[in-house]
Amino acid sequence: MAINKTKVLIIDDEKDLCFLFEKILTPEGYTVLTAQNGYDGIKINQKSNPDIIILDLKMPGIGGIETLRRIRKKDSGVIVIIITGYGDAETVREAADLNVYEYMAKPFNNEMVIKIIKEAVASKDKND
Amino acid sequence: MINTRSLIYVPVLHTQKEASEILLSLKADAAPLSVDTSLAEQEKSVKEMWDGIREKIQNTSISCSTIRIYQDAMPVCGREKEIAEKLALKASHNHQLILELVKNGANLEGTEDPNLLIEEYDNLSQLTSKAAVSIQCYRDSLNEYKEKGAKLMKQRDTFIAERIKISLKEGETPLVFMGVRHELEKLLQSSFVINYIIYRLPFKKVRDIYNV
Repeated sequence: MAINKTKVLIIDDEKDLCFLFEKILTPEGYTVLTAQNGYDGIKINQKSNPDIIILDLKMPGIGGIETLRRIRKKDSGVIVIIITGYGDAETVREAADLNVYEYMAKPFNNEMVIKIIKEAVASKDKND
Repeated sequence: MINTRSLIYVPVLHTQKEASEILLSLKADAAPLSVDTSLAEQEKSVKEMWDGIREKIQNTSISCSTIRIYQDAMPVCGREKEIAEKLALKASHNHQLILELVKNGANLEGTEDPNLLIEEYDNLSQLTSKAAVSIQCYRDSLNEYKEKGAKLMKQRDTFIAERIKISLKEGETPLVFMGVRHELEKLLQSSFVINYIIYRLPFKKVRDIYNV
């Protein structure tokens, strides 16, 4: 899969963070979609079929883990990277059980995130 | 009285090679486990995870001399430092970091019941032997390993929680390195305020998660 065809959906209630992801990923050739809550994230995932989801855990409404549970019911294959400022042992286990590619803490290193996304895309290509 | 004693909890992942080495260190006569050692990418991601954890620990304001380290799969045996040195020499980033902290004044505590760890070794040994048969055989056994491991994990966690409570001295902060499958925090949250240190957890790179 070429990078310029790769769609990345950001689900995070922090608008600034969504903007930051657009700023760092768009010049790399990714198409960036954003949702500020879990409900919208689930809808956009169904409609736009992104390759990768970057998911926050702590959001108003349904949290990140519940959002992911609902996404997984219909989409077992999408690559999910969790990025959270409130990581704990329980959500780490839940993430592992929900087949998450990577679990990262905020604040994160931009270069590291880009590298992980590229690796995830490469692994998807390998498996497709 | 409200107990506000804090505990630093670091959920960690080990590579298959590392998990095998850790469990091998428990048995003098242990046969080497069959592991896939061709996973350079896996090693790289795990090293980055440990580099990030090291940096985050350094950024805490806690003095090393007040830290007591509790380590997943570290038996209570009186030769804990020797085991950490042996594993550090075998490139375990986890144990290399422990030795750095010990050098700076931290105490390393025997953490787990050796008998329960021998059971864990036997379970993992059975699992990895299946990898030599076929991938499908290994996959089938992995589910069995997880089911069998759940009960053992509860026993291990109960022992560890008790160990932390009885060995921790006044003024010390426990620093707990625990594999992500443990549910130890559930047994500690009534006695401690738990602060997590997480940098990255590369689940997919590590592939299968074992109980160490």
